[in-house]
Amino acid sequence: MSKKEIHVTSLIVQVHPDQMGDVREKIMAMENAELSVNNEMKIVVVIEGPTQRSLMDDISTINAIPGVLTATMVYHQSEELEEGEE
Amino acid sequence: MKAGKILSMIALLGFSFSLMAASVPEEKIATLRLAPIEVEPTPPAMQKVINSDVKQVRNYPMQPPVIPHRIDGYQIDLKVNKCMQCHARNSTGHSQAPMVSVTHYMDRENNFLASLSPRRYYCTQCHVSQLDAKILVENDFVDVKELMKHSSTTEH
Amino acid sequence: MSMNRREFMKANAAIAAAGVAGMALPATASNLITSSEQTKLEWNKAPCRFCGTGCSVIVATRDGKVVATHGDAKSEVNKGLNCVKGYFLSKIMYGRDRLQTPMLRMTDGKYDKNGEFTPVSWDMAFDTMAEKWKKTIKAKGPTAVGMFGSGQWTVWEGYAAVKLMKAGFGSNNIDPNARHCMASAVGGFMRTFGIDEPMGCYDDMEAADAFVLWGSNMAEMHPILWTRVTDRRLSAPHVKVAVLSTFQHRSFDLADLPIVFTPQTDLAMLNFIANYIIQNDKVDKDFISKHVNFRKGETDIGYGLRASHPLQKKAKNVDTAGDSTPIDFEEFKKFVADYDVESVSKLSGVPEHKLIELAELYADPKKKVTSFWTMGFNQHTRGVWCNNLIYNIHLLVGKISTPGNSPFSLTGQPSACGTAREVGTFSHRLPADMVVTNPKHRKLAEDIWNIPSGIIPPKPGYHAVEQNRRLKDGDLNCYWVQVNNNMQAAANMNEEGLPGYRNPDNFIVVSDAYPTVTTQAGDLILPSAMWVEKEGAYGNAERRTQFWHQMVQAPGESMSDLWQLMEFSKRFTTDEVWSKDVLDANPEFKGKTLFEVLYQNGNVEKFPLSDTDPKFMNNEAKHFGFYVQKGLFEEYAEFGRGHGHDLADFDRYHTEHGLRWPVVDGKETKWRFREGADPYVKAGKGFEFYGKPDGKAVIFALPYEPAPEMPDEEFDIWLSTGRVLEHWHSGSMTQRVPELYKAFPDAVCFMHPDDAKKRGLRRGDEVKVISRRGEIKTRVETRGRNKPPVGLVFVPWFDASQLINKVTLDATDPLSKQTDFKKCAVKIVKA
Repeated sequence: MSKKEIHVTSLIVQVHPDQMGDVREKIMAMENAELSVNNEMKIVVVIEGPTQRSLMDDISTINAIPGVLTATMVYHQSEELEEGEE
Repeated sequence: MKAGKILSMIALLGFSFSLMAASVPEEKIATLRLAPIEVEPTPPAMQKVINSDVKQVRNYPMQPPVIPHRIDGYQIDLKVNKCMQCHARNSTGHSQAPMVSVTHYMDRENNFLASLSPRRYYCTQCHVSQLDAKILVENDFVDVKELMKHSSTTEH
Repeated sequence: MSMNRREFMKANAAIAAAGVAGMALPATASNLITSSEQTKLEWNKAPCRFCGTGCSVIVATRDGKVVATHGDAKSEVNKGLNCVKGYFLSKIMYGRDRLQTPMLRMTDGKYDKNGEFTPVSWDMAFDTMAEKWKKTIKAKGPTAVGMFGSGQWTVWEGYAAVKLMKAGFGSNNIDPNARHCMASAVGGFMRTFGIDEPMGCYDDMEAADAFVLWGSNMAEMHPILWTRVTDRRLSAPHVKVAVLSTFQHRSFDLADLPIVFTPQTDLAMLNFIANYIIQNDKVDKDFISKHVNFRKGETDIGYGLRASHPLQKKAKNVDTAGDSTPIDFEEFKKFVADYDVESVSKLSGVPEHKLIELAELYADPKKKVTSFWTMGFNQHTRGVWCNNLIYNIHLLVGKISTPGNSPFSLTGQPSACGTAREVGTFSHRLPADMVVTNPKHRKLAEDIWNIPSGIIPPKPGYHAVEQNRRLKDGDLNCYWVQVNNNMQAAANMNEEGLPGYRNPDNFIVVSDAYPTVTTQAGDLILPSAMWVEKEGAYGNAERRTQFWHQMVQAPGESMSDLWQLMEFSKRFTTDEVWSKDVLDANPEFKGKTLFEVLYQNGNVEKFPLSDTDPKFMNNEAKHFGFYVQKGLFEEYAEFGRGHGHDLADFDRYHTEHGLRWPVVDGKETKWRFREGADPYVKAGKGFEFYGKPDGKAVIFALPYEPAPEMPDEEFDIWLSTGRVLEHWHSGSMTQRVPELYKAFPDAVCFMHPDDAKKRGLRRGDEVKVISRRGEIKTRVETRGRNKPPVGLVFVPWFDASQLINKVTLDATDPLSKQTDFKKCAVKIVKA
């Protein structure tokens, strides 16, 4: 049985200040994304997922949110899940 | 204030000194040597590189993984980077080796690059293979996971 | 998978991104993500504990333990990267054999030089020490007590130690192991520029068109700086890298111009380059006419051996080794004219075309050149000369103090610059480049310290090598070693170090976190707190001062070196250590303890305990009742402010990721000596080498002279010693981290396959490496990261069970007193 993995990445998302509220709400609604600190221009977002592909998909989703200028990946970490972990 | 005061403070914190209670002869004190200084110990036979390909669990997430295979004679120079022949993103399909972390595709200013960041070019600055040497001193570093387990059992 | 581990990963990810985004972090990273578990993780900055690069790391603590570290994304030095040692910092404090209590050699409950190490209380330890110190000072005066520290001392520890020795005991016998590491660099800076430390900074690496490594294996010894060189080389294809060494090593993997040369002939190659520049009319005449003087140095200066050594007797100018006389450009031109490409090629074994290609890197006015050097230059019996000669080249072409044009001396220890050099923990020095031989400097120091004049002796004390000799001879009897492992590190252990420590007349105290070979040779062992177990400050190779807070408690009864120094000072009164004349002239000092005189002098105790950050521990402040570290730092900073060594306010360093001095009007200085970049250069000057009275740097005419010991018929091969990537500081910490230990567990003898074959040896065979002074047993390595040429072997010195310094020669540079660990003659035989 192949082992499951967990991937975690963090992004700096640059947002048009006027649309900050909307963007935050949309990201909050995403299943795998969590908000961290932000200022008027930038938000730190943490995404987790089972594969690198799923992270990439989520990043694309964030990039497509109106008001998002850029989403830059900063940190990536993957770990194998141990037996019984999920 | 006398030296005694801070000592009693530390004792109150619950440290135990019993481990070190016995006296130690000179040749037993330096744990990495365990021989009189004048004596020339016989060096251990050269160990083999652990070549199991079994990943070793990291001590914490940001630790660069150790290399679970031999890298003798690997060329990493101006012409070739042997490691990337398996671990680069577009090589992992045929090699089935783990891809280097995406951080390795970022430059000093954290911009993403199309290929391996030149600042990460020399893999062996961070990643080392392991010899099957018997360690001389145990290390009591505690994985944060253990600490968390411990605190959750005591707190709940 | 438990939520905890996942949350931990996510918190790390968030903190990394927040750091890059430059967003203010909440008090704990935990708040970045809402999770109850995360509130228990603390993240704080600290400089790395190892080399002189000065990377910044972010340290995670939980429940009183360090649980993780990662590279500090906000640090200009490393921008989030670490080398393999830095990534394993979390484990260096947790070797199971941490010393937990003072241990005194005893038999039947009494101190016995040949007894077993027995746990004692701190009171008993200090009582025994104080009794020995007092008896010795009374019988033989302050020159019979001494101290040996290192560039691993924090700034205030080194400063407190200097005060205790020079202002308290009135002895200049304090030296750091930086003497083994960078004394020649200091000598070179002082001789050429009149002020210590590099003019440039690490930003030079992103601006240079060419890099030249002179006796430096940066790929292993300064890996993070090497990532910056690599980044530059691979991103800008016009950039060239030249690597010079006496054997091939990992830095050669990036070399466009690899050069392996015969030991000691670097002197000739340096003069050849100067000659080439002059012959090809590439001298920056305007620059040298405005900013440079020429002088000819004394020659035939000996090899810093004992006076009884035949080579010392033979040398003509031992006593005047540092002298020089003014010459002009034409005389200099004539002097270097002897170093033509044919003869230097023959001497060095380097093909002529390579020498010319190397010289052209410097001569080409369009190329910005950064030269790096470390122990290949500094551990050299003509180390100061090497430093002078590389400056000659940069000065001749005016490639200095501008981005990318940088003669750059790298350092080995985390605070070799910040503590050893800037604080001045050398036997001849005082803070801010001042020296004990200068009456004005002594007066200034005595005034700042509020001590009577005449306490600091005018004669330099014993330097590192001399200390071991004097211990052996019985002139130095009470000796305290802190933060280093000098029995393993100093050359010629069998003939000097070991008989010195074991001399029955001597009492040797060793403070360390772990039991080392030096503790083994000592009489009293004091357990020390290390790294983030105390508040600290280090200064790196680019003049960057970095602070950290205490984050965890040291195990058992371990105490910081600062606490040890200050507590010990309480056991002495002025009457016991100062002369009657001084006390009669200054009666207000009578009966005071050294603690009162040195650390309650109106300065050091100025900042109350309430000034400390309540978020962090500070054992020393709590114990002594005032903010000790701040008081010591602010008093120390007074020496340099307004004198080209300005440090910022104490509190600022706790918020910055380091600042490069001089910090003037709140701004750091990246390039010194250049108008516009350095506030000390006067308007209209362009460049000003203000360390010298006339603002001019010096180009020195200095020749090639041979090494003191060269291979002959019996001892037929060169020995060079050095380090490996995975181990630092003699392996005392790194060998206790299993991953680092297993990466390079035992020292080996790197050897050319032909040399092995000639001796009937195969890879893995047990051999003896034998010199005139001693021998070790090791194993032959004909493959791997170091590839010596025929005629040279390389043995690293980190291994406590293979003490290669039994074999090395304690020949030193007569100017810097730094040992040449890179050259002696040995033979290799099957064991």
